[in-house]
Amino acid sequence: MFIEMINARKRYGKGETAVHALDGVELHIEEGKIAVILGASGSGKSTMLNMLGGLDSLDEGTLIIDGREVSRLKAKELTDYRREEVGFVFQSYNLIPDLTVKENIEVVADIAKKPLDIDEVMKAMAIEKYKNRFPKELSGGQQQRAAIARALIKNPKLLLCDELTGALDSKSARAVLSFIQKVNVQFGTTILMITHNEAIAGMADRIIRIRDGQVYANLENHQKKNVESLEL
Amino acid sequence: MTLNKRYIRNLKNNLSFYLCAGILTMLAVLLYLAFSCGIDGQRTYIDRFYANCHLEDAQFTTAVELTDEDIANLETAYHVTIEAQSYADYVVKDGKQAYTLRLTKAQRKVNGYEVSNGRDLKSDHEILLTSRTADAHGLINEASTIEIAGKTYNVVGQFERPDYMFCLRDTDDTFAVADTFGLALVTDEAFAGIPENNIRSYYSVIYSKQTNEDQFRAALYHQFETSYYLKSQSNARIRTLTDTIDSMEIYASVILPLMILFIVLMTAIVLGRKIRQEQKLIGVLQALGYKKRRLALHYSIFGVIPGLFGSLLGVILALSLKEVIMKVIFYKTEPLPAVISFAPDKFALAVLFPVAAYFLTVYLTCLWVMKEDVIHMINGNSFKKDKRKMRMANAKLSFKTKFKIRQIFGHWSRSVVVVLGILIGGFVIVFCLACIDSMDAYVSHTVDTIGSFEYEYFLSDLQIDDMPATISESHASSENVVKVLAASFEAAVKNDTILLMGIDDDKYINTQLISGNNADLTDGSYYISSMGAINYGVKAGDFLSFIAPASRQEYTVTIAGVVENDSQCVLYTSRARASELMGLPKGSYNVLMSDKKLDIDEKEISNIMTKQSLADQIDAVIQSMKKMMGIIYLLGAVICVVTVFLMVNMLMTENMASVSMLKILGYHDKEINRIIINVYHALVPVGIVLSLLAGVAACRMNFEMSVSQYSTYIETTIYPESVIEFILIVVISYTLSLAMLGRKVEKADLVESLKDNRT
Repeated sequence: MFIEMINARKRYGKGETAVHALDGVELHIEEGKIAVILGASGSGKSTMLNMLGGLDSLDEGTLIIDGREVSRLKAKELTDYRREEVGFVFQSYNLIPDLTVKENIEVVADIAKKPLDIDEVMKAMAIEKYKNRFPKELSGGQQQRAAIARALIKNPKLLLCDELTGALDSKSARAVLSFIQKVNVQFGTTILMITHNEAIAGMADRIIRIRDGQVYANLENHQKKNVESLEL
Repeated sequence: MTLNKRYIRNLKNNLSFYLCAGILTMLAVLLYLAFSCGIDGQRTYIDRFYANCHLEDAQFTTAVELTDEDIANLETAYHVTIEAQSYADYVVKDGKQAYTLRLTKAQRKVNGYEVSNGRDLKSDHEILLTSRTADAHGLINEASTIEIAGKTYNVVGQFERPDYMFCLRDTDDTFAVADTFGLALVTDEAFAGIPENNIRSYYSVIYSKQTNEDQFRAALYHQFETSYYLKSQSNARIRTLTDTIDSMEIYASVILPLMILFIVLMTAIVLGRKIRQEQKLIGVLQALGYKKRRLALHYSIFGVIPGLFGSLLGVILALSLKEVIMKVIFYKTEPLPAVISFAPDKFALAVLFPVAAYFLTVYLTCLWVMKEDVIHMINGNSFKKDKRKMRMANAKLSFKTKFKIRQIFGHWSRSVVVVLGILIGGFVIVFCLACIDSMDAYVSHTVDTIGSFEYEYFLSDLQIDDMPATISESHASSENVVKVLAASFEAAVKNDTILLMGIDDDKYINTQLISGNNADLTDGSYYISSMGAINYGVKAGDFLSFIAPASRQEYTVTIAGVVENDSQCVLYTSRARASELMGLPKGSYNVLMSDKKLDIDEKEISNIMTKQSLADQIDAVIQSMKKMMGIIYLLGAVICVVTVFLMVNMLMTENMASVSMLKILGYHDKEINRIIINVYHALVPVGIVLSLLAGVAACRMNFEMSVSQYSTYIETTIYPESVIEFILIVVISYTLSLAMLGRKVEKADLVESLKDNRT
């Protein structure tokens, strides 16, 4: 199993205001698959993504990714884990404003052990002609593709996407999702997307449903669809 | 409104920023008020003190003694007030060292006194001392006693005389040293007991509006043969205090307002930038229905907080520390009561200017931010109109280098703040260090530039070669003795005196010209000292006019060259030419210079100056000046540390989004620092260089402006050690600020940062 989350617990706040963001989560995802985590706001899906990405640590439980027990890693090791294993794509793109598209990608390529060819990745994401533009000079879809390119350049084993299409119109969303599917096929990257958009679940190999910090459904999608046929 | 609850919360969350902004404002207000209102207050006090004590307008001596009748006649004829001033000098030993006390009695008409501490004299066994001398010798308690010429006096307090506020032993002296000379006041009866031959006298005069000074002086010269005349404006004992006030007024009216302007400007820029970071919340509040004006007013209070806090604290400190500050300013003269003038306009300016500046900055920035589309603001995408011109698409540079270039040149106002932050504090530090170094350099070389003599004897009577001398002939003809004819003249261009020195043998004086050659005194040309050249604005080839103080005859000579001497205003010529100019017989002299101590009867000498005593005087004053500079230096260091901290805080806050994003992407802290924070290292040397240039220039300007105040010209010098010290202060402040604020970044919650990160 590529991702194993066993009895994961995470609590924010204290006393009466304490929120159990993860309350004994069990999660298992195979390598090279696309998994979609569905849940309403406050269900704990973003917390789960943060744990998987090594941005936050569990209070209890175990998290093993690709055989490495991430839940035991210290701050410096977590940084190395993020550096080597994980790619992030966020709803709000989070590109560095003072760098052009190409330079934003170089930021990650610069520290990656075996980075992919930047021009090839940009070509794959169809952002080649925007490479010398600053993030503010791009549309939301273009920025998101640049963010995906930045995440992919290190050829991560795990790509984490947080509300990937949340800020995009349906046309741009479809284009971005097509790229994600292409990445999965082309690079064999394990992709985990969190969303509250049920339609996106159609493209996943595995659909995980979360509510009140607990996984209440973890099913294989036997009716996996092509992005073009999703009703976004 | 509920929104106002944010003030306290914001204050807690940004405590370091508000503290720094408040402290900077406080220091600016403190400096401005202390100097500006302090100087105003002192001037008012001195005007009253001078008027109450009837300060002289001039002092003179005459060959023909003035009788009481003569004085009365002159007073009636010329509407003047004249009083003889008598004193007797006594050497007092206090165990550690011997010092001279000048005993005086109360003057009834001219140059009265005020008791500044303790009480007035009641009996013949009581004595009052000038404050600095009393302090220097520990004679400040009422139980203190002092023995003078076998008589014991009880010290009952301290007093000040307006004509001895800069307590020089001789009006030709440059430096007042309380350790070696002071003034004392005894009762008329006690003074009457002093042997007649110990008493010396001169006359002081006060003019009225009806007085024609020229007519009076002419009459005095013709009837009583004026031998010496010194206007109060030329009298260093009197002039130094008013000169100090004048020069401090320059600081208070030019340098300090500029300083405040820079500090307020920098704080305002940082405040404005902080408000820009609030754009998302401002957008949300606008979306909730808050009107632009109300929001702008709400945010403006964030500017008022440090402004009001700093200003009020500055006012309180200025009033609390007024005595210390006044002591620092008037370190050379007798201490004055610390008076701060409550000039409403200046207090209002000091308090309201920073508050108004911060209020307006935030208010206008807020309105400017709100010009953006609300949706863009909420999404954090405002300021789209910012055009980034440094694309550098074809430049073969790494993204790190391009990023650094854009950070510095693309965000120029941020870069300006960084440089300004270092410049404000650095300027004060460099100014103080340069002043201290210049004074050190001055002490170490000035005495030598005056000449190689060890003793200078001012003779009581004029002597003439080949005539029976009143002093021992062996001294006058000794190989170790150089004869000099010296006399003070009034400069025609300003209220100042210049010493005319007729000398044939340059064995004991430095005659090296600034051009490199040596002055040839034997041909009767006139050479001026370098300090004189600066003071009167003349150079070789120029004319210089001066007036004989007694006869009022004006002379104009051509300057043949400028002799290196930064400590005296001297006009050098041959003894023959000096005699001719003064209408004295050829071969006249009244000063003996020697490298050995001469055994001359005390009665034959009016004054002795030793090179060592001159060096001691200079050193004593330099030490006092260094103390003053040390205090300003400390203030500068505090300003430097606080401005650098404020500036680094701003850099950290503004770059937090990029820093946390890089952390998320897997960058280690050191790598992040190298890319984002270290970029500003390049601006630190710029700030340092500008501070050095500005500080040294200000120091030079200071010394040039205060030639008459210091009675000397001090060449600006800054030693490499001081430059290193300054660089270390800046670098350590910068590094420590980075280290302290760097922890903020280390502790940044990546998950929270993600929510805030927007392009």
